[in-house]
Amino acid sequence: MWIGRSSSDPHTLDHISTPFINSVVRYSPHSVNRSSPYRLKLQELSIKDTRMALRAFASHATTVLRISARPVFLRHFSTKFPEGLKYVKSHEWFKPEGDQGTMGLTSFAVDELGDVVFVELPEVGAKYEQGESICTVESVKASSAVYAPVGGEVIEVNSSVKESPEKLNKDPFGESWLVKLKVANHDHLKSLLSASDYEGLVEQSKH
Amino acid sequence: MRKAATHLSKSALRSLASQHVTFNLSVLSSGFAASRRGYADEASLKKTPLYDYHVENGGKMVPFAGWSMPLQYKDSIMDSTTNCRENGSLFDVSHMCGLSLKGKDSIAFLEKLVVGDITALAPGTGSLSVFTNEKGGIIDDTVITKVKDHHIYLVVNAGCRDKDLAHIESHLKPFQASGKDVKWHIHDERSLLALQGPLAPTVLQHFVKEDLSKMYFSDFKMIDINGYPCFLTRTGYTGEDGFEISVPAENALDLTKAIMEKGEGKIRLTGLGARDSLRLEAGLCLYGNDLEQHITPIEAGLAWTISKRRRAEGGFLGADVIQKQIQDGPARRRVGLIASGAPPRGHCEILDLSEKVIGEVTSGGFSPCLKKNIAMGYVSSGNHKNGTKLKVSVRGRISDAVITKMPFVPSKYHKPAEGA
Repeated sequence: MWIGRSSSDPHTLDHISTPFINSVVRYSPHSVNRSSPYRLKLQELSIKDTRMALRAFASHATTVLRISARPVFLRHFSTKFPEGLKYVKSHEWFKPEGDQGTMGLTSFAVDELGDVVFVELPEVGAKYEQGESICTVESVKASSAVYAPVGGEVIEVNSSVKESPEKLNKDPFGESWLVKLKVANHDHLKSLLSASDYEGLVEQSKH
Repeated sequence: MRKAATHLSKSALRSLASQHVTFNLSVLSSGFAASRRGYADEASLKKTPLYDYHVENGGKMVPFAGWSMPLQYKDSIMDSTTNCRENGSLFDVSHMCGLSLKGKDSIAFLEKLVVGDITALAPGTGSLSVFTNEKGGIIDDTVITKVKDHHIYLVVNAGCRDKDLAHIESHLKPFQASGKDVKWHIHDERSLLALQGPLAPTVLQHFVKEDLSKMYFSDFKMIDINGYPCFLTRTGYTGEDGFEISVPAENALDLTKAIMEKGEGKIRLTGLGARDSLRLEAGLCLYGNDLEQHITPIEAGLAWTISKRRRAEGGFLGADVIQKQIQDGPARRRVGLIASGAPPRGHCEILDLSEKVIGEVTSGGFSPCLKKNIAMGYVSSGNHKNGTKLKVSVRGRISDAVITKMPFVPSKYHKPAEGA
């Protein structure tokens, strides 16, 4: 029987620690603020911290595994994630299209969630800051906030995903996009990850 | 128009804090990698004899009540749930705690602590019951089986193990000191497996000599299964026909492999995620969510566990509170809900049609079999009748709900034919 009502219960899933955070804390010179009253969250690490951590991990891994000395994420290898898109560490993707762009959830996120049963989309016209929770996706067991990869204004939402949430599991990078945004600040695009950077992050979070 | 977390209502924020709701996806993914972490807290989690087997079979291990248990395997929770009802599931529930009370005063002892009529229980049968506290609140729910008059076998929740055993021991010691004959034994030498679904009896029959068709819901046998001395109960937590098998721990893995082989791919290893969906569809309570220290069995809709004799005589902790509630009716009652919109989860507020708060959801989610949102919660008496239209507030948004009779999915317990 499943127990887990209050977040103070040490036996609930809320207390799953995050190996990626811990490995970054180990490798990163900066300490990470891990307290969050309402949700466990991959804390706001700068991309520099992330890259330093990945570099440290990769050089450790190459020594141990005796493979090429080049850090893993700098090598050119085919990624599972579409190259033409940009990514966020909280598992959203973003496709810049001039002044606008389209966002969605990555296949990794959707696979981890399981069968999506409900999608709550924002209202057209609503404005969000970069990293702000913009919509919610729910599976049988959990609901998860989706964060805006860039700050902007909602210009369109994908109502077909709202009507048939299970579509999100099938084509998260294409037909099951979530929101189209008018980009408020193009500088935000610089902080987004490439497909190979994101793949490195995903690979590391599995270890 | 911004929907930042700080602008959500207090109840919505509480919802966010509770276990079932709002994970950041990074947490979800790293939670599933928990089995490969090398940290002290993971090393301190207890492992069942099937731990390695779960991992080999794609089990996503999560911490649960101090144990490392499989949340799910390669199947999605949706597929696992529907497969249980169409074919069958095998669950490792070895984290749960089995214990025996033996001695001629064991019934008298247990009746001080539980509401059940253990005296009236026929040997070789069991029933759901609850341990109560002085206020009539529920300490834990349990399946109690009378093996014979001087031997009672109980199974309690993993998360309540320490609490329950301390509670039992605190009453056992003075009872024994007064010269009574009762001893207890905690079955840590055994592991518990649950085999549920329409194919369960056919598959299990391969391993036992006795005719299982004559074993009905709630029956108990001490029986050899695949040559191992087991305790077998025809019961479960899914609403399907099925069995709970207490097998010696050193045989648990072999029995699991034997069952899975005979299951020919139709019986699938099933984790805690699907177990929770199945029990919710079956309208079964989960301690820690739907049952708690401050909730009485009358409020929880479990008055049926208290026989006429026990209602009249009392003799269990909190009997006076419970007797009064039986007489006057409780102030709140557990109900089932079907809701539109986002699935209501624990702590979501239940509102009447004028949007006044009249209760709270204690368990909720999307039903893989019904393809609807189902939930359980408590509402103030007067609002509890089936068919009552209500509203629920999920993360600040209000959607429609209707009180629905449980189980949401009809149960399929193996009972004797009418008139048999």
